[in-house]
Amino acid sequence: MRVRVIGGVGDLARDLRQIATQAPSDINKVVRHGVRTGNSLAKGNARASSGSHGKHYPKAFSSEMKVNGLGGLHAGEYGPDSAMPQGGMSFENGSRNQPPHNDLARSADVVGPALYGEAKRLLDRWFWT
Amino acid sequence: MSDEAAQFAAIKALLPALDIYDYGRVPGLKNVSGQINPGVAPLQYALLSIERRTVPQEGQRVGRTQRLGYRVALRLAAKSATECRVMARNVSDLLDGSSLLIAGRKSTPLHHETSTPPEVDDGYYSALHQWTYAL
Repeated sequence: MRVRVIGGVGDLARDLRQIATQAPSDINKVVRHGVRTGNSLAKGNARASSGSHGKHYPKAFSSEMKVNGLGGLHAGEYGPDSAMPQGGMSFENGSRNQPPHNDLARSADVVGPALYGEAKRLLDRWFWT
Repeated sequence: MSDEAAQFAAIKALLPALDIYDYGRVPGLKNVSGQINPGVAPLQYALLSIERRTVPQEGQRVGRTQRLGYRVALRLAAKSATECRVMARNVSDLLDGSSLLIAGRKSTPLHHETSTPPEVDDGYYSALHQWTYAL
């Protein structure tokens, strides 16, 4: 069996017009999901590492989208909110008296590559479906 | 010697001029029980910790060997912020891009991940610097 795919510049132009309208909401969903997943992972790490004297620390974790498409940028952030009880404690980086917990850094180890993979899949989906 | 102990020793070997300790083992300063360790507290020193990190599977196999990811954290402590910054520059010069040789295996080059500025820290100034690598 042979499959022949034929496309011209007109098809490409049509696809690009469609992608331009679809991309912002797709990218926003991917970033939003990444931020929520990162927060969930970091919160789990914090629950495991903060111990009894940091029992409120994991509850201080939250996530939010900060930029929703302004200038083509979609950005969110997650982590402990310093306005919450124990949210300002220095568990992440530690101090001379305790090693860094790296709850956020360890979540980024997972979320960073996953986000990259999602972005790559988006590109495939835009052009091939 | 465990892999982690060997990595600890390899990093120490890259930084021969720096007094490097485990957390709670610094002479003249508090240990984990809150008691003072014997000896005189150093004016400058570093605390080293190494942890496994989760790395994506893709690209982590070299032949049949599975590479593991690590994060090395150095907390540099000194009596002034300026000294702390000088220590950081010297350490970066020696570690950035260097590889560790552990039991005949060469790590990927140490990749600088993050640094904090010197902050007041219980009678010292200290700053955290972290690198990642795979072995």
